[in-house]
Amino acid sequence: MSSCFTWRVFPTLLIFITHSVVLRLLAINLAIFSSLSFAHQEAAITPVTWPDSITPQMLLGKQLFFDVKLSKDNQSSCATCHQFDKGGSIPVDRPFMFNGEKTRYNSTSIFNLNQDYVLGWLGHISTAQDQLNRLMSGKNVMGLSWSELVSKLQADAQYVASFKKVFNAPISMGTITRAIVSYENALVTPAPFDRYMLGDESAVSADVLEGYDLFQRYGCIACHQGRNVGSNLLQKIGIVIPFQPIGKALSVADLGRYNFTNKPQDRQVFRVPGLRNIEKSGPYLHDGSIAELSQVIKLMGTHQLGRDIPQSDVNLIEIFLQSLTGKVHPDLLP
Amino acid sequence: MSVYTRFLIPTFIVFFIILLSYNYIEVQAVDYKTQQNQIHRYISKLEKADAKLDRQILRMDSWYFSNYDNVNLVYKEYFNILDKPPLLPEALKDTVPKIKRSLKAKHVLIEKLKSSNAILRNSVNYLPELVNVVDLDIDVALGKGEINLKQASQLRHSVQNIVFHGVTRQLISRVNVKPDLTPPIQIPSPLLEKSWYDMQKHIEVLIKYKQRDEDLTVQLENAQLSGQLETLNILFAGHLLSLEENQKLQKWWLIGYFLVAVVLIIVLFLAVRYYRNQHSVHRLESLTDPLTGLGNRRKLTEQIPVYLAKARQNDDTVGVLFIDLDGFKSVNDNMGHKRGDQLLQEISANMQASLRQNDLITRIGGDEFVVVIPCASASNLRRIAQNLISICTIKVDYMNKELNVSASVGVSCFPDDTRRPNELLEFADKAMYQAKLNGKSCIAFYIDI
Ligand code: HEC
Ligand code: HEC
Repeated sequence: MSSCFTWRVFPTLLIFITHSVVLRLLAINLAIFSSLSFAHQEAAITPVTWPDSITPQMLLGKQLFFDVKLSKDNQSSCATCHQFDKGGSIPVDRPFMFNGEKTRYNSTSIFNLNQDYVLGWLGHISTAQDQLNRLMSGKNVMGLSWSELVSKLQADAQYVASFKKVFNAPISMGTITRAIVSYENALVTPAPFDRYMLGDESAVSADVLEGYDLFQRYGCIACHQGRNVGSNLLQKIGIVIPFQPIGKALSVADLGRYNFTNKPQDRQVFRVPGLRNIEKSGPYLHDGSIAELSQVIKLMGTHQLGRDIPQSDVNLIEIFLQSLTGKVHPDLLP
Repeated sequence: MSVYTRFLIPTFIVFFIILLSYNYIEVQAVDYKTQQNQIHRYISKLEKADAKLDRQILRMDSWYFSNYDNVNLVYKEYFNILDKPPLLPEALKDTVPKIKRSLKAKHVLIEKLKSSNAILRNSVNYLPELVNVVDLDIDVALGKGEINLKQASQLRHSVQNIVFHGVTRQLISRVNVKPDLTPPIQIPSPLLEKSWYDMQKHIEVLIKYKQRDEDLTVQLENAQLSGQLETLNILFAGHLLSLEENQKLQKWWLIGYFLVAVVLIIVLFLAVRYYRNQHSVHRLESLTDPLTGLGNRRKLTEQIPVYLAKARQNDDTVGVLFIDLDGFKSVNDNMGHKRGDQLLQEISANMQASLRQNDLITRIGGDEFVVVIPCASASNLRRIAQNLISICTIKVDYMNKELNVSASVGVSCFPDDTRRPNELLEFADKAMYQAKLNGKSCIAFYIDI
């Protein structure tokens, strides 16, 4: 296994460079090199599509997702903190839980869950099943334990019948989880940019393409890539210039993955958020401390890339990010 | 149920059991085979997943790289395979959890590699623009007159050195020398100073992450799982070998069992046959009178009900003749037992010869005989009785004396006299007694007394 394969191509390009050649030639050579080595980046973002079919299981999951019965006081459902018109998130920095406290982090989007990678800001949740299990056994988010929830639903004849029909099994932790998770996993939001990637040139404006170009050139693409334009990688916030939350001291929560692993190298490390529907899912960052998307883009430029991005470029990048706002399959809407 | 059928059933059962156990071993062998195939497929699946993961890791540093989704997916697949092993034999049980642990350890490294790879990728990507920016700012400073031509050339030379000798050398040939990033002159222009500072920072980041990338690559090389998969393969091969031997052994055992069963069956067969022979001889003996070869009293009591039952069925008659020899005692007394026995044998043989196949003659006492005659009218019985008397009537010469032997016969009839078997004999006896009273050597019918 040699990681140096790519870098080895360098000499062939540099042979032509002598001491007396101007820097510009060096720059051009470097550009050729990097465009050679990163020419693939067309596939850095891959399109998503709606699920092939909507199953009864998903529809049962939908019913559960929007049902306030899932909370002890019949006040909140999953959709309280994962709102469909807010990019699957909630437009507050950190929502209140059943126990009256605020959640530790900003609510992540429920859309386009990455099924092959860890979830949560810290990457501490192994799967969607795991997430639901944590939420229920913690009891503080919605106030019901598994057994309480199961008996609450069992008292509802309509649910009993639906579970019987869908799973041919009684209501249980397992069947509830299967229903909700199958629904969650179906919540994919194809966007105009996906249509563009699939060959529809007219799906997006020229500004979007320019923004995409900048997104790549500034290097956002290095971290925000893949199917979800992120959510598949862990990164420190403040790679180039250390990040300090604005207007407050670094809290324990701000230490990110360190809270999970207790390893010093994981300080301020977060799972890179996916940027689909980012336009709608503000406020931003793990603590929801930034309201404006353009501000986050600037912040990313400074702390992650060490570059000041001029306002015009920020606008274009924002326009590109807006083209990632998509729609859930109509049958899965509430 | 005959003794033979009684014997055949266990024989069949034994054979059936042997057949079943053979079948069981065969089925088990098939089971083993499917299990083996499963394990085989499982191991090759693991090997494939492992190769795939290594390929994805390699890809991260090549220009075939597209995004990190693939490596995540491949890892997840690999992990899921390890999570669901097929039924593994004892020898292989520990290996899969071990591999899983190693994979998890490797995954930590993969995550680190991903993180540093993204930044390194980004830094290398940004390098041309970085050089461009500094170059442009040198031009601007030159234009503004903040630096002179010589200084500009010095700065350019320094950038070239930093990027070429410092960075690219690092990228190409793992040389780990930190380039000197300080500017060759005091930079008077704030704009140029900032861009120089930016460049410094970027190249520091690049070098830092390049170093990390290399370290991780080495660590990942050491964390390869192929060795463990190889071990799994070797263990499995060993397991297969022992399994095969085991199976051979099992077949030998079965053959052994089979032979033992056959021997047991033969012994059983012989034993049964011997027993049966013994039994029939004994039975015959127990029913015959050893002296005359006629039936004895036991035979008579056994047979009378049989005759009656048949007669009842066919609405027929049965006559019983009770014969008592007259004068036999004097033969015995005068001429000895030997001669008496001889006489008895002669009379018996003659009587037997005079009777039909279906008639029964038995000797139930010293000189008492009972004859059972089915399907005979009274006149017939009388005739037969007469005939028997004449057979028994013998003159024996003894020392110029004549000893006369004859017989008295009592007759009872079924169903006219009685329908009960034991009464029939009793009545015949009574009739015989009457015949003795009547002067011996004559016939008396029970019906007449
Ligand atoms: C009180 C608000 C609240 C409620 C109610 C709530 N969630 Fe969440 N959810 C959050 C927050 C906050 C996070 C981010 C947690 C973290 O990363 O530590 C989250 C994260 C998640 C994630 C992980 C997404 C990702 O990509 O990381 C899933 C899946 C999820 N929630 C599902 C649900 C389901 C299903 C329900 C209903 C049973 C539910 N949530 C109810 C606040 C909430
Ligand atoms: C080195 C990796 C890296 C690079 C490069 C990077 N980001 Fe980020 N991005 C992150 C991380 C990590 C976070 C989460 C930080 C946090 O919440 O504290 C983040 C968060 C964001 C968010 C907020 C998402 C949310 O749901 O709150 C946006 C928007 C964003 N980045 C856009 C960009 C843009 C635009 C660029 C290019 C200018 C960029 N990023 C470059 C790692 C990166």
